[in-house]
Amino acid sequence: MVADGLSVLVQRALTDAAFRRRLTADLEATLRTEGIVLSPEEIDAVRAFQSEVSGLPPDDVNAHLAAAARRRGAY
Amino acid sequence: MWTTVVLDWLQDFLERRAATPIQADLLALAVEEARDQVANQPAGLVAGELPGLTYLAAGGAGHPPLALAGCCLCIYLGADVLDNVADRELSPRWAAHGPAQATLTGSTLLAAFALDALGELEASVPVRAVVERALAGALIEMSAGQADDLASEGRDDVTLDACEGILLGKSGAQAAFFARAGAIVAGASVDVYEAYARFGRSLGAAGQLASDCGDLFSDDGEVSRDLAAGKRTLPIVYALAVLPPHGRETLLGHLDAAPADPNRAGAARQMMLDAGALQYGALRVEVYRARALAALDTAKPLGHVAPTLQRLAAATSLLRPGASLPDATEDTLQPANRDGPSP
Repeated sequence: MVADGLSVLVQRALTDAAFRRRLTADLEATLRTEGIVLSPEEIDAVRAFQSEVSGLPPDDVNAHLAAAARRRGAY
Repeated sequence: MWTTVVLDWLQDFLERRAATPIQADLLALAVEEARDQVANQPAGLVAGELPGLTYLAAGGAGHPPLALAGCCLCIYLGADVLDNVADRELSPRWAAHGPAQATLTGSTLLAAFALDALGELEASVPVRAVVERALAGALIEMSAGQADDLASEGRDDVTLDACEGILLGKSGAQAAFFARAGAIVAGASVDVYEAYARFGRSLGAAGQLASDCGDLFSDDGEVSRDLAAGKRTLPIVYALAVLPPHGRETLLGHLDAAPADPNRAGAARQMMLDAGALQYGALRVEVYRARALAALDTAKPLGHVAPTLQRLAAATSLLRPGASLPDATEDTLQPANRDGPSP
């Protein structure tokens, strides 16, 4: 099954602490080095993610997001 | 609440236009469903609010047209009933009537009453014709999205691209029409109402994806409806895409067993969380939110409505939850607050 650039980034950041640190230090340079292609909107989304939750431990990140996602109403 | 005003209008309209008492009773059930949804959530229904907001944002004069909001609610309610039939999730109030009557009611709301409501719209014939063509286009796209969605159930080869196509085709096309129609009736140019349509499409996709994440990963202890129905929503497809072969087979086993076994549904949920599916979903919501805001920049909404539309997009975010959407929307749609727009 084909994974897109954003899914590659998420999966790699979860399993590779060094990659995660490099992403935090210099997002765009790390993407170039690793050959991960993201759209400008996706890069902005990753930056927003970094500024909001990436300092949290992995379990806390999920807890934060799960609380935000809690049973949203009809859309 | 504005949505309640629109629901009252729709209830009266459907009572007047129903051809028989039985049809009137069935339509009333659909309206009751919407009233329940409104009672159980802090914000109103986007279907009732978005056309009024884009009407005002594009410079429409006077009150937002109730008939247009009623048309959009017919689409929302019809699609919701049909979706519930397809997912075998009809509420108990339909038990005495069954899925065949629910299917008929949903189809009639979508195909007949949405169009009929436009007949009560105070608009020129050319403007009405453009809205009707946009309505037909939206229904065709929503139907195609639903067909793709049904075809994806239980399959293990659905791609992320295909999954996003379903998201945009179902929820995106619906909200695109709500936003586009309000701007058309306000007299906006093609460029402007298409920008509002892009806003609505991204808003609808963001809202639906956030809702899908809530269904799968909410910490309220309830079993996911999508897992129980064998759905392949974007976070699930993500996990299947990134897991190594052995993990993927394990997840597929859990997903196949989930409809009958809550423990396996829980195991699937945990595997997907560990694989980053919620984080991926949150990032994708941010991408749609950014696209919605970019479209809004192009549309250039009037100053008094712009913050409300921006907050509508912001409210989809899983990273920064808590936007004060209900008050903002109500303030904008209340007549006393619609004077003196600034550019």
